[in-house]
Amino acid sequence: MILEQITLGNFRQFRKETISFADGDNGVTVVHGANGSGKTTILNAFTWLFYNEVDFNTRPDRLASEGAMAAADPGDRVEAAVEVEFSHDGVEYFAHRYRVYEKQEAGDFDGIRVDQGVEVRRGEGSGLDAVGNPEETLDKVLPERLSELFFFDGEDIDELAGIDNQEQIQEAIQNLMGLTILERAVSHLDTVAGRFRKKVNEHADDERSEIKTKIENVKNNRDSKQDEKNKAKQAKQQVQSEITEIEGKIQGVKDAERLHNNRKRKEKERESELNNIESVNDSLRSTVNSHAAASLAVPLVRATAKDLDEMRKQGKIPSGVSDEYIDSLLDGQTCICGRELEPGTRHYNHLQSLKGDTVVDGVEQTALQIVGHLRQFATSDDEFETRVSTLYDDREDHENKLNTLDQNIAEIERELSDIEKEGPEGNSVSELENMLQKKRSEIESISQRIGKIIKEIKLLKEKEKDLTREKEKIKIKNEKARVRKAQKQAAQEVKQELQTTFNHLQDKVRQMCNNIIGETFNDVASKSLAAEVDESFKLRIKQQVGDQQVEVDKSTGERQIASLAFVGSLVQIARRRYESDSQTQYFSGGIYPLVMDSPFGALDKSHRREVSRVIPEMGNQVVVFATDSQWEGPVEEEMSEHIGQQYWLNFDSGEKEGSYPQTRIKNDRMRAGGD
Amino acid sequence: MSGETIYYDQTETYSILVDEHEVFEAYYDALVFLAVVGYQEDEYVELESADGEIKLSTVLGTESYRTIITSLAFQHVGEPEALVDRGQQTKIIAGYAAGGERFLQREFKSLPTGPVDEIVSYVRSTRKEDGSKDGILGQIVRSFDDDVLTVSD
Repeated sequence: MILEQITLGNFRQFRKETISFADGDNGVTVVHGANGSGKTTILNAFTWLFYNEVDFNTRPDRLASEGAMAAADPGDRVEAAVEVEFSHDGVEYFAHRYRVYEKQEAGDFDGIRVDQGVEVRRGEGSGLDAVGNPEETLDKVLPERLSELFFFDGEDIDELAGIDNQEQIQEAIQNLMGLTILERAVSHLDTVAGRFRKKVNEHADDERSEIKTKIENVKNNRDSKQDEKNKAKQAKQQVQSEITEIEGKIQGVKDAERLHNNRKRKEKERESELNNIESVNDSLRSTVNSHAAASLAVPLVRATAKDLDEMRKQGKIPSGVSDEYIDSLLDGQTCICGRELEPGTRHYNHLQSLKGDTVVDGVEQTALQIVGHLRQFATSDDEFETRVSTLYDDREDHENKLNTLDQNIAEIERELSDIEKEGPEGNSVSELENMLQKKRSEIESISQRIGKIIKEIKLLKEKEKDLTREKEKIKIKNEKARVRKAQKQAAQEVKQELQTTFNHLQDKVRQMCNNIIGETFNDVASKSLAAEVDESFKLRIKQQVGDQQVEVDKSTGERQIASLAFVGSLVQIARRRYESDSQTQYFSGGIYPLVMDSPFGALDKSHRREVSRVIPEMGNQVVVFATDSQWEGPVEEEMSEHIGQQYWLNFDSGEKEGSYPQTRIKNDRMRAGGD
Repeated sequence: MSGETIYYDQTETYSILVDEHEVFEAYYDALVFLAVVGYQEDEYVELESADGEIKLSTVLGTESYRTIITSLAFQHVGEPEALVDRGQQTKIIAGYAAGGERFLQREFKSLPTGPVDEIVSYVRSTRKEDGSKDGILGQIVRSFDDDVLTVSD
């Protein structure tokens, strides 16, 4: 960064003043001013513009010029502003910070702040464009953390070499290197690791263990219910098979009853057939009784009739018939030949005419009777045969029926026998029906129980599903916890790595500082003294005593020299790093101006000379504020050849009526021209 | 005539046929049948003693039995007088009945248990020819009719 120009408008005692800065070989800009003339105000103008920070001992809130406020009427607005033009990395910048006050009444020098802001325009070549983030842009160009190094009050610079200022030294080194970022990163990583640790703790395994136990319990409960359901199903099957058995028994008993009835009916039919057969047999016996002898006697009678016929033909037996026999034939109206003898017919009259013509003889009569009965025997024989045949047919028919019935009955008995083998003993159909009803009720009850268990199982399954989902969530949380743990570990490792790097870089810079400080301090201070930043970041001044270097008490001048040497070393290191080809992420360095307010205040003439010799070497661009007493003599002698710009602050305390404190800035030409 | 009695051998066969199996209604029915069997089988037994008796008139009350008894007597004696000799007739019927009874005892296996079918079978087996008018029997009857009862036109 190279400062080009600063303009202060209505800023404190400055109404409208501009300073242009020197750079390059004659890069020293000296601003001369008596005490209270506004040197520190200009220093504050820089810090206000860049960081919106001021450090005034008197009325720090009153930025607007008293003169401008006095010139304004109540209600008028007065803008206090600082504008700085500078270049950085080949880019031109224009920065403008302002604060607007509205005068409230006559005699109001503070006003009420009604507006404020900052604008930055930048550009390469022609024209500048406003940037969207002016504050960040300014901080990037000249980081606030470095502000104390480059904008410092020389009267306090000796504090760097104070006994307990190692923290300030360390901070200065860190700020310059950009190591603060690393340190912040380390600190932040610590915080992050702590946050991860907390997260890890939040996902304690207790929760997972608890949910696992719950799931296990639900599973066990569900398994138990499943067993219960299986047992109930088995019981249902058992009862169902008992029902089937009872139904079978009932059917068996019914079948048995049906078979018994059937058997009775068949037996009745059989009895009937037996009676029929017996009836046939009776008829047969009757037929035998009435016809068998006659039938069997046909040959006997035939032979007898034949013999008698022969005897009659031979005359051994008379052929006439007795009147008694004729009467019997006429009374019976049937001839011995079987012809009907109706009274009045020719045959009847013929037979009647025979009466009285014959001699009665028993032999002849008997012979005639035998012959006369021949036809009856023949008829009887036929009847016998016909009846017997019929009866035998009938009997065969009945016997067939009987056989069929016997077979039926045997079949029924076999079936009954089977039923009785399988069937219940001593249970009636109604008893079995009662048993059946009970079993059916039992089935109903078991079915209801199974239904209830199924519902319970379903609920348990849903619960298990919910718990499993919860478990998954916990698992994910645990996964996150593991990730957090890994992240914590990673953060710790990164922190460790950064810490190591940080320490290494810090120490490296310290050593680099020491090298430069050694050179600078030796140039300025007594040859027997040496300055260094020790490992605890204390800026120490040591004296060679014999073979040893012993830390010695330092005078204010010596502390100031050491401090300047230290600051100068940092600026040089930053510049060297910036100009080097090193591609480092941290500590890339930079070119910074040094703006020093009264750096010679506490020094004697000798030390002023030495410091003056060092200051131009400290940076490319150095702005020095000095009183005349500080400047005259050795300082002027040593620095004159390095001065590029030189200004004088003319302060009017405004003690006259109608005037107010005001500082005007004049350069060499202006001074030569009229002052 | 009414005083004639048949003395016959009243064996157990009569009891079986009449009392036990009721093949015949009365002992005299069985007696006549057995006598015909005896004639048929040419079995005749001269009875020396008899423990059963039946009035001849009882038997002759049935017309066919009268014919059978007189025929048996005629066939046994071979003389027309036998047709009217009751004494001979009672003796002859008893003799043939005893012969028939002896045949049944010997040949009828079913006699003790129920001989009716065997009796029927036996009777049917003896029917050499039918007794219709067209047979020999018819010719004999027509011969008697023609000679004895001819109606002159």
